[in-house]
Amino acid sequence: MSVDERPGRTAEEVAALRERIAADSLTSRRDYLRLAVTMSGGLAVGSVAVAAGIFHRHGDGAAPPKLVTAALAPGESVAFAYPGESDHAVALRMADGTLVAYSSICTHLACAVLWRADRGERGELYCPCHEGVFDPRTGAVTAGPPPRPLPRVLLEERADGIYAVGTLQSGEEA
Amino acid sequence: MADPRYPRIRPTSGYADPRIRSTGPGPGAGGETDPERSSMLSGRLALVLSILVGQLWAITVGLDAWMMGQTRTAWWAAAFSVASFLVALFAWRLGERRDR
Repeated sequence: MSVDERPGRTAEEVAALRERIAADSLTSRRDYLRLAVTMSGGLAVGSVAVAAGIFHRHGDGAAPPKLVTAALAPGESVAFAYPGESDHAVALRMADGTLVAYSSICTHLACAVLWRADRGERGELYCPCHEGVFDPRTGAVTAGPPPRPLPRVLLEERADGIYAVGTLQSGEEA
Repeated sequence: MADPRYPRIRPTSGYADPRIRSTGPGPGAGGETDPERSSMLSGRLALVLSILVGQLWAITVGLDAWMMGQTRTAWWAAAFSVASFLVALFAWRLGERRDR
């Protein structure tokens, strides 16, 4: 049964359908080639935009030292934003007293990374979206799909509390 | 022009009619002077599709590098992508002149 023989269709619907089917049957290899070249141009423009810095990186821009919290007990964490308001981060103190802070934006698809003291041997930075796991000592990826380590936030313990004083880029050592 | 023997069959009968899947020899049948043209078109298409895969790889590497602060690597990936696009453009435009 052809498209115009089915009951319950108006003449306009049939005409539109016939036009669409006819157009589909006329999509040629030349059209695909043109589309593929257009996509290639789009990817080239996208690559240049990426290199030119269209995306925000954690730590781009400077900010004065910021008080994160007055105190942090072993095994606890606190969320904050530094240096910008959109640069979400998490500071944590591990069981042995080591104080560290990282961007809490997963390097996979930007979900929130959580400090889970109950996971792993010494706790883990865990992204629940796709089971991404980061080493709390270095920020390196230990499991899951994230492609890069977490960018580090530098902390300083002062008399009146813990301050965020700077940032490192993903994979950068202090 | 209608065939005097079969007046209902016109040179374009079957063209763009979705009910007809196999139209048989069309109005241009027998006039093919460059039989490799079709293969070349397939070849150009395969080349450009391969280039697309390479560009997807390059943009992934470039984004990763840029996010890690390796701006130089990101620019190299961008340069590779632009060069790939130029090859694709060449395969499309140059072939277009010989085509048809």
